[in-house]
Amino acid sequence: MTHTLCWIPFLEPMHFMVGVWYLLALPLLVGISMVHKGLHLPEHGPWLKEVGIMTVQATLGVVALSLVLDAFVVWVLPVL
Amino acid sequence: MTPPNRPFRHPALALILGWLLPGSGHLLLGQRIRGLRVMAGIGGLLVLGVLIGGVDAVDSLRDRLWYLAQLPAGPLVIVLDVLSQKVVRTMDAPAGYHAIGLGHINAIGTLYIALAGLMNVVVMLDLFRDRSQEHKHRRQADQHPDAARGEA
Repeated sequence: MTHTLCWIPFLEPMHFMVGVWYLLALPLLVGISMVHKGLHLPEHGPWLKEVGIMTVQATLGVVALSLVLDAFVVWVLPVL
Repeated sequence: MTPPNRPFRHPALALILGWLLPGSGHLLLGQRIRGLRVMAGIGGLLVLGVLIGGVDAVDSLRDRLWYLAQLPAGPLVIVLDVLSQKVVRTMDAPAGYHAIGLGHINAIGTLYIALAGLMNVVVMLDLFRDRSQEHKHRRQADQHPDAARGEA
C-alpha cells in the first residue's frame, strides 16, 4: 500500500503489481483484439462483442498453454 | 476527405500519418470508424505500456531490439526514449532507483509498447488493402436497410 502511495504514474513502473504481474496480460489481450477486430470487421460490424469474444478465447488459450507447460515442468521434466 | 473504399491518390501520405498518429491513415482514407477503433486499440496499448513500465519501458540503448519493435508505434516512442535517457537514467538515488524498471513489470511494459508498434505495422500495411469488393453485401444493407429487410 505504501508503495502505491509514493508511485508517480507514467514516470515510475508499477512495481507494486509484481506479485500479480500475470493479470496485466488481460488488458494486453483486449488491446490486441481491439486492433485486430477493428481492421478485419466491416465498419458497422459488432466490434465490441467480437473484441470480447476474441479476448476470452485468447485468455483461455494462454491459460491452457500455461497449464500444459506447468504439467510438463512438474511431472515430465523430473522423470527425464 | 476521400469517400470510403475508393483508391486514395497519396498512399505515402496516409502511411506517414498512420505512423505519426496510429489510425489517422484510415481516417484520411475515409474509413472513420475503422481508424477510430485502431486509434483506441494502439493508443490504449501505448498508454498502458508507459503506465505499467514507466518511461524506462522504452530504452534504445539497453533494449535495442525491443526499441525497433516499439518504433512503429509513432514519434511518441522517440520522445519516451529521450526522456528515458535524459531524465530517468540521470536521476540521483534513491529517486532514480524507483524510476528504473525491473523484472516482470519492465518486461510487460516493454511488451505492451512493442506490440503497439507491431500492430501499427499491420495497420499501416492495411492502408494498401483494396476494400472495394470487401463486405459488399453488408455495405449495401447499411445503405439500403429497407431493401435488405425485404430480402430477409
